[in-house]
Amino acid sequence: MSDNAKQQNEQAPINLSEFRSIHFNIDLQNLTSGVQVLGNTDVTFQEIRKDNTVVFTLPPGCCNSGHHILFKVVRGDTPKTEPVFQMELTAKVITLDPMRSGLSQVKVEVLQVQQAEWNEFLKLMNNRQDLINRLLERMRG
Amino acid sequence: MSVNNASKENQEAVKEYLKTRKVLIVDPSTTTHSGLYDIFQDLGAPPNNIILANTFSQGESLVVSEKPSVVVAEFNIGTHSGLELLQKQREQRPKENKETIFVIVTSNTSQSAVAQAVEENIDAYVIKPYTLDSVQLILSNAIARKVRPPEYDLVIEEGKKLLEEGKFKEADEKFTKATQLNSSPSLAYYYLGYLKYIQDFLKESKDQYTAGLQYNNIHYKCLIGLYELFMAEKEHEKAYEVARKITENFPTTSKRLSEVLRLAILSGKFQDIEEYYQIFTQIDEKDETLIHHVCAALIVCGKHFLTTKKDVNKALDLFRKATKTGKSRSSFIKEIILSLLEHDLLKESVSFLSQFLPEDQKSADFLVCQLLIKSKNGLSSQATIQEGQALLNQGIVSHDLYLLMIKNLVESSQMDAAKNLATTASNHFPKEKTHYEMQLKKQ
Repeated sequence: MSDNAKQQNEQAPINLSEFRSIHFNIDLQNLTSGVQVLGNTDVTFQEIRKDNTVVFTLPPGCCNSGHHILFKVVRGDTPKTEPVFQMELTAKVITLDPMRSGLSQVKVEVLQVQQAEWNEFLKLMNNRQDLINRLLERMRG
Repeated sequence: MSVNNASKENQEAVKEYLKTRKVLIVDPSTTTHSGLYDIFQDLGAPPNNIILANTFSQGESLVVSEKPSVVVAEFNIGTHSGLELLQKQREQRPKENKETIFVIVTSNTSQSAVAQAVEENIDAYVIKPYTLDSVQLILSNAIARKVRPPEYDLVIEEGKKLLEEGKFKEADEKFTKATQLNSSPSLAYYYLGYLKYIQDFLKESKDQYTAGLQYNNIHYKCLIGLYELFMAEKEHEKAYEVARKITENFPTTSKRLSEVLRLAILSGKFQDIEEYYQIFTQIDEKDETLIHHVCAALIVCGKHFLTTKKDVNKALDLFRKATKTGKSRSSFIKEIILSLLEHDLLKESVSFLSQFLPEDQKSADFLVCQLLIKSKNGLSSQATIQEGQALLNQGIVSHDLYLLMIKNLVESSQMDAAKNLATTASNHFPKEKTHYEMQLKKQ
């Protein structure tokens, strides 16, 4: 980063009121077995991979390899003044690994998702990462 | 930008750095292990130098036994914070801080978690879900920054080393040289300020921090330096102004918010308390100390509006917020009721009495408040003394109860009993002795 750009970054305003915890409520429906998991906070996003796969942490016993799953994702911390981010994705379970905590690490292949919703999701996470990077840079001085 | 666009030189430097160093990944998730393992291999780490740990205790022992140069940890590992490993890593490699890397990879995006991490000066904070490309880029940049620092950073590091060795004159020369190596040398001025501060040259220290802030008026370290300096000088108002600026521009930890609330009260900035209350409501993880400080600040602020501004509605609003924040803790409600009674706000006092939790309605605070209200509402002196004595017989020891009893004993001309009670009260609350004596004099 050039000195000028660095200086601009150092002093550019960071709106801390936007700095809320990003929290997603993820419900899932196993389309193969019919099992539903609603309002369970153990369902979390872990990783997005280039090969069209996503890794989730899920409660045990809700799916098996080869099962098809519908995930309904809603941002839980959205302020009342803003539209609520939501997204649906259908995916197929590729691998399932038990974790020490009793939860399962599940890698799924994304079969269907609205591109606009997916892009918005990525933008949300990128913006937060960017904000954190800027804060780190700023505090490092 | 993908890692392919990062400069070839950086890539080579990162590869060279990782070739001989150990990397420790501490995360309960096997997916995170495998993803990060692949990334570090891609960046040039030999597979046998990448160590994986599932739990905090495993990670902690590996930091000690393997002395890794790079630690990547989840923020929440069981009941521990991954940041605890940073301290461990620094203890193990005290002389090599500028060469070690510490990265948090976590789903925790709360302001307080990020604030804690950035205050510890970690090298990167990666949020989950991440893409492998983005992590690779962040890690590679963090390592490159350490292994190929610009001359400005190098000179500052040399100065810091001299500072640690107590070679103040030589350190001063380095930091002064650094001020010429960057167009915004706030960090160099910060270290010059700190150097003066630890030698007790407070005026010179202030000048250096101020010089740093001329290049960047929200330079974090200069602001912190200035804040500590004003606190040391007991210049609470000036310290408060700096603390306010820090709170406005950087994520807040519970500790800092507690400090700024205390300073706002000390410097009489009651009107600002509500702003901090708003910040408080946005903090995800609120510890008990902070809750206590916020409630106390709201109550003090409410009292200010009652006494100075005569703004009852504003005061009531602040008292309600304190009650809600303190989850109807009895000591806070008692404090509120005492203030309201002092201003003859009887109806409002009754309303706050109903805020006591059902399980607290036999507590000393509740019973004393109830009697204070009854007394204010016209209960005779004799009846007040009788009911008060019953509470004392129950073993309740309360300054407010003693004060009420002494007042009523004096009013009903039972001076001997009043004096005896004042002596007992003074034994329990020696600091309040003058209050009891004043009540006796009201005869």
